[in-house]
Formats: sequence, structure tokens, C-alpha cells
Amino acid sequence: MASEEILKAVFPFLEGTELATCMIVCKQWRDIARDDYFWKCLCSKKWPSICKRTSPPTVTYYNLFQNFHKRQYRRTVLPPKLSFSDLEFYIDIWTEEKIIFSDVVPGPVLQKGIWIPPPGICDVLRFHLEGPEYKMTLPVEPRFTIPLCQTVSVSVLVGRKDTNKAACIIKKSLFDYIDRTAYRALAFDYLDFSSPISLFVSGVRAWISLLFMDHGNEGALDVFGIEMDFCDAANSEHEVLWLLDMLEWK
Amino acid sequence: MITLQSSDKDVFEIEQSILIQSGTIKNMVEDDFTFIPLPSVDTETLIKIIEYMKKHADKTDSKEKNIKEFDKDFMKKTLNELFALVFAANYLHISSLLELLYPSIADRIKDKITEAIRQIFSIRCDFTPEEERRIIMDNKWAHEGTEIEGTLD
Repeated sequence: MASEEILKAVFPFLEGTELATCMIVCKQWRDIARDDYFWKCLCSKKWPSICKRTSPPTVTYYNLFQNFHKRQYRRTVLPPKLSFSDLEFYIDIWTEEKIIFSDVVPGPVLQKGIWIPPPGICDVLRFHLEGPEYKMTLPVEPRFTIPLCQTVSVSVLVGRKDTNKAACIIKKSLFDYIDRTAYRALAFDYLDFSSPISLFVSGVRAWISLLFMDHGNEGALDVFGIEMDFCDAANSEHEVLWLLDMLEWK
Repeated sequence: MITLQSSDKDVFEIEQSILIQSGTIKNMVEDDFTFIPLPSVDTETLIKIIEYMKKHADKTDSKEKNIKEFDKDFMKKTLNELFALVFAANYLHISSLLELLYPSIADRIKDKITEAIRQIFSIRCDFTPEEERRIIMDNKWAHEGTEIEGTLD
């Protein structure tokens, strides 16, 4: 049985994580290991300057050590302030100057993103839509057809009910990239964040995809659905909501 | 020559030059004691202490590697033997031995899970299940993203 004196002499030779394990052994070990003196020694090895503070510390060295000893690589996302039920998306799609799709899409519709895709879509797209990764999609009913020779553009605004403000997701972008293997036409725009976030964060894109059928019709796209994603930065529901919360809301 | 007597009443005659590594004995020798009773050190432990001091008495450069090897082997003892040595080295003020003992005992704690430490140190967990849960939660930060080996040695 180790005496208190021995433990007090031995503990300084342990790493912080090992000392933390000692706390779980029994009450005697816990009470000795809790002494902030040992944690001060550990902190002074890692960050000597922190022990030179003149004003009394407000946090224990134990707390300091826990928080900073190792870089946290896990992205733990706290629940966002915004929820999909607060949001409405205003999506407009034009060919040339004519509007072909214009709708107010409630947040929960886009959030749910699960609907039975019509038969006749290619396997790649089916696997994508049925896969577990987070995505925001909505069906287009009735379907519309876009002749390939025409330019198609989209704008997306979003409104939020909690503050009665709106933000822009896509100003007006062309679907100038058509991925024939995945049966999507893509458009994107860069997000505008509020200040001061906008000083540091840029280059994050919002993507809108028109999902089309596999008809073998080379001349036109038969669009059955729309997908929105922010894959540059956000890949889960919480991440998307945090991202939207950071937009320039006016 | 100085005579040491263990708590078991066994006597050992050792050269003064070797024994002065012990601060306690050195003081008594300076006060002209030649017979030194050590009621808090048993024979088994005293034999080991004497062995240690004999090896460390001759600190010439050529012997340094040998001394390091000896020290490493000397620490290969049971935990209870090490504890007895700590008490004795503390009482006898042999700081070099203490500086060897503490890290060696720490090595028995390093990289072990809680249960392994309890077994090695013959400790019974005296937390209530609620207390144990609490203290584990409080110290979860130490083991996030790491794998702890449960070794017993």
C-alpha cells in the first residue's frame, strides 16, 4: 500500500493523462492527484510563461491543462441557433428571360430531402439520392424540360422567421456545367457572410444542381428535382444551419 | 569500520567511506558514533541498501556504465520491496537512491489502465458507483482519441 508521501513524490514523474488515470484508482489517489500543485508542474513544463503570471489565476492549472494539452481534432458541433422550420427558400429558375420554376420552399421540405425519385433515373443518381450522406433536395413537380441550347440561370434567396430578415444564397448564376455521368446541371455562387466573419472566411460556395432523367435525349434536360449543397464547408444538417446563420442577413 | 544494526537485530560491519553516502549515517559518524542502530530498517532492506551504497561508493569514470546497468537491475524488484527501500532511503537520506526509486515506481503507473494500477498496487476501489462514474467523466478528456493498453507487469 503506497503511503501519501510516496505518491506525492511519484506523481510528479507522470504525464497529465496518467495523473488523470490515477484520480480514478481510489479516493486516496484522487485526493492527492487533485492537488493543483502537480498540475502547475505539468503546465510549467508545457508553458513555462503561464506560471509567471503575477495576478492570481482564475482557473486552476488542472483546468488549463485539460483544455489545452492536446489539440482537439474532433469537430463537435453544438446545436445551431437556427432551425429549418425558421427558414424559407425562394428559388427561381429562368431559361433566357422566361421563368420556368419559381417557388417558396419551406425549410422542412428541403431539410427532409427524402422522397421517392421517379423511375427512369440513372443508377448513379439513384444511389446518390438513396445514400445516407446529408443532402437537401426537393422534387420538381411537374417536371420541366430545358433545351440544351438555352442558357439556364438560377437565383436563391432565403428568409428567416426568427428575425424577419433575408439573405442571398445565389444572386444569379448560370448552370454552365452539365455533368452527364451524374445527370446533373450545376450552378454555384459564393456566399456572403456577415461582418466580421466575411473578413476571414471566403470562397465558400453554394451549389444548386438540376437533377435530370436518363432519357437518352441529347437535346434537352428533363428535370425532376433540385439539390442544394454547401459541400465546400458544410456536410451535415447542423453544419449547414450554422453556415446559413453566418450569412449577411438584412 | 562502522557497525549497522537492523530492526531484526542483525549487524553489518561496513567501511565508513561507503556509508557516508547516507546523510543520516554521515552525521552520526561525525558525532563519533561507530555503532548505529536502525530500528526502522529491516535486514532484507538493509542488505539491499548496503549493496547499493557499495556499488555507488566507487564513482570513477570507467565504472559509470556499470553503475547505470546496476541501477537498472537494482530497480527490478517487487513494488513492496521498492516501498521499503523508499522508507529506508528517506530515513537514511540517500538522495541518489530516492531519485532512482520514484521514477521507477512511476513506471509502474505509466500507460496502465485504472484496473491494472489497482491490481499492481493492491488497492481496492472505494468509490461508490456514482462517485466512480463521476470521476471517470471528469477525466474523460485524458483519454479521448487514445487507446489505453491494459497490461499487467
